[in-house]
Amino acid sequence: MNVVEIGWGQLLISLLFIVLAAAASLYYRLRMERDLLVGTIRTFAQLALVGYLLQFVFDLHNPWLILLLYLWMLFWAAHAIRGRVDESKVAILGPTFVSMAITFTLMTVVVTSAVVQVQPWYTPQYFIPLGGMIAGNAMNAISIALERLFKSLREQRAEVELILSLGGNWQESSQRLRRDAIRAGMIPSVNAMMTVGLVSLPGMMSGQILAGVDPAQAVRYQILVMLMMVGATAVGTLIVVNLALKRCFTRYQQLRL
Amino acid sequence: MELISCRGLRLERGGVVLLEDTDLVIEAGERILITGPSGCGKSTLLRHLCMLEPGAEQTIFLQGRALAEWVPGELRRAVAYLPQTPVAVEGSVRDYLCLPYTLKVYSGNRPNDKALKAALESLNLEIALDAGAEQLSPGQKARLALVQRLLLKPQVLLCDEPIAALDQDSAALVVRALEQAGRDGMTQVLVSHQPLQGASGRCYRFVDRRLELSPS
Repeated sequence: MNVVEIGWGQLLISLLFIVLAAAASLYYRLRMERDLLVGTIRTFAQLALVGYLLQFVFDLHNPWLILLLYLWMLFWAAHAIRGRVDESKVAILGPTFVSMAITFTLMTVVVTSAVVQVQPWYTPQYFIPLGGMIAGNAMNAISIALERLFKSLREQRAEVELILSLGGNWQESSQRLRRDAIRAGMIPSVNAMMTVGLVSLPGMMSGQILAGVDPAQAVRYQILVMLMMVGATAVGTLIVVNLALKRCFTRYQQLRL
Repeated sequence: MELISCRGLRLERGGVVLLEDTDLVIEAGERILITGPSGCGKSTLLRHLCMLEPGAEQTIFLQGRALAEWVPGELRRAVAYLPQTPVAVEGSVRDYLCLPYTLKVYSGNRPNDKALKAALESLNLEIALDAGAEQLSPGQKARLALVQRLLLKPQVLLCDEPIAALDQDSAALVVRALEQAGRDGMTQVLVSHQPLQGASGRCYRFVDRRLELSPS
């Protein structure tokens, strides 16, 4: 592999891109200068930190530590979902984290051990990035689905309560809303499968090609990643939406919101 | 026979106390009319009577059993609730009337078209079963919603402002249908900010977070 290396000095040149954006912001009074500055500093700091961390993580040989690290990542994903959904009446952090932890850990294990067949299955260089992509993608899908779910429960409260008042249970009263929410969460990843390679080259594949990997090999990895993400998205949204929905109703079949 | 009773009922909505330490007994077959200014808690009371609102499951009793002890579906089969604004559901008039029979509690009891037609006619609704339910006028929608609940033959019917949005003719038809159902033994609790002309029954008013029996 022959990779052209980037030094910190060269990276400073890329700050020109930010200066360009800042200039536009000043000229059009977008008031984004502060965010651009903070964002740039955070990008440098967070990624530098992760770089050091990864070096440390890749030297780990204890599967439990690697799983613990993955759970830590999933916790922050669940935390971000709660922040984005912003629902005070229904607690979603716990169920979101637990269901993500179980399903995504299992999925990543299957991917590394059965598909990639890396020895051992917990080799951090494979486990952490593959699991991370699952978590990141599913995080977006789950937030979209939950946002949609709570929004439609509020907007279509009358319809939900009509079914409840006729004697229906929570499943019967929210069947349609649940279906719409799960679909909304899944659509972006399914659409991504339709346009991948036509409209854009996925980041991971581009990264591998930049790193000198044979394109055919990079493509196979990308296909694996796409399929794995669609599966994780479907399973993740399905479980989380069901758990959250159940918590929107009391045991007397009343809508809590 | 005592059908519904509230003992020491206290209702709140958004931190505001609407009703305090209220006792109310409704006999089987009786009609109760409840009036009061808007926002006083009339609708909230009805929603509590069918357990749609959380908080009073232990202080309201149906047939001597606290609402909390009922299976929610069975309770709501016995106590039907008609909200002020009829909910538009996609589909035909037939779909709307048969919506309850798609639920587990009513499964298998779907009435045939003849029964549906007869029910519509009892409220002077001359509409085809295949017509779109959303295209009906507000007065027709309100009557259609009432027909849906009457077909279920509940023991108790809770009506929130049954004639508020209706023209005189529709209102008279609704009151007549309610009278008829009452004669057939259906217990009714009607809530209204205006007097219900032609409807008989025991009258209560919301006064100072209490229910006060009023003479008319």
